Amino acid sequence: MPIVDGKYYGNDDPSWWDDLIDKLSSKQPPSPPAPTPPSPPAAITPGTPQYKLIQAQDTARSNPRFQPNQPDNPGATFCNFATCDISKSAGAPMAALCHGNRYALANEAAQQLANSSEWHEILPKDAQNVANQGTLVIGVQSNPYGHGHMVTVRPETMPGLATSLGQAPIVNNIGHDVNVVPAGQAFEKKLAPPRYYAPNRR
Amino acid sequence: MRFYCVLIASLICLGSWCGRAQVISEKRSQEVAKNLSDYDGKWWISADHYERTGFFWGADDCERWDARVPTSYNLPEDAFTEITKYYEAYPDQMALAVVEVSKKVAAHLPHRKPLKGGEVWNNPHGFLTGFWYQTSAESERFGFLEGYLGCLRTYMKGSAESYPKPIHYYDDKIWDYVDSHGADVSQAPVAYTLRRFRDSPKAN
Repeated sequence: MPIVDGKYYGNDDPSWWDDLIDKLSSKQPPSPPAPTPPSPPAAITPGTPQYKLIQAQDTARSNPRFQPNQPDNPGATFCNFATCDISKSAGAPMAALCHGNRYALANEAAQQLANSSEWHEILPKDAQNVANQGTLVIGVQSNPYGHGHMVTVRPETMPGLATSLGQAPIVNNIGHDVNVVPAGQAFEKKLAPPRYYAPNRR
Repeated sequence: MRFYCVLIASLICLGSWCGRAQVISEKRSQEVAKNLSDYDGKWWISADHYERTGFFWGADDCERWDARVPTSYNLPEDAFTEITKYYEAYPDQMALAVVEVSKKVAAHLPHRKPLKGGEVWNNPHGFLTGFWYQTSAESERFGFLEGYLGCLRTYMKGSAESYPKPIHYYDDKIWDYVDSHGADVSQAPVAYTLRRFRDSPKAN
């Protein structure tokens, strides 16, 4: 029968071993506090500007009136309506997106955004980062052969992922296709590249 | 944990950006276009959403700009569900052409007021250009050619002889031609590019 510190311990009683462990472990520094778990991405956190922008984009994409080639509107696409609806939801200045009392067509908007004092051009490589901060970014491509195209840049759920894969910016595309795709798929590669604009006031 | 769920969801979404899942099987890719009335309930049930959309747009494109007949296939997408419901409710009518069923269901769909002010493509064949073709899923392109060639065979004399090859043959030819040419071709109607690959009439 073991005797430790004048105490008698039975073989089937492990408490002497626990005491020993306690004595040894008491010499160890206290364990650090558990790390704070990462906060959820802003894009999926209600109330953030990123979340609001994504909600506006999703609403526009699912709007049946913005679907292409509807029987009551054959041959029509609605990239300009969708972009204007999303811009309104984001509180962006609207003058450059209107032409008289109607929404500007994409070719018109391309010209007006370039000359607007309320918007500034940003580089394609920066467009994704700006959108990831919850700021509206419009991509627009004019088309000398016919209709141009315009989109809004989609905030990423995992910021930096699209850039690391060489796919940035990702855009909310509403035209003859309705989807969320890299800009390279939404815009015609054989025309002049699209230009990106963000509002001056955020 | 939530962070990792988001990560996984993002990767899944990324997969959908990189390419679409709709693939036409080897067997189907060898099919030759049929008359429009031969596309029936069995075909409808086997087609995915993209192929159905492509089919309606292809048929409509030919009817409007080539055959010059009243368009019978231009339906809102919410009609698709109704067509499916019809075939499910009346399995004995699976041999009925999709065009006939679409007429039946279209009569019961609410009329939507047109939205004025969009990008209205008044040019022949509208936005169904080479660029549209290249950005469309394989099954959508396949459906477009089924509808377009099906309409030609139905309404235009000699079309069966002009386009006797499998649908996949024309898909490849159009894709390659658009890809290897400039904006003048990618901005031109797919229908014009398709014509480049029709067979010449045989001399008697």
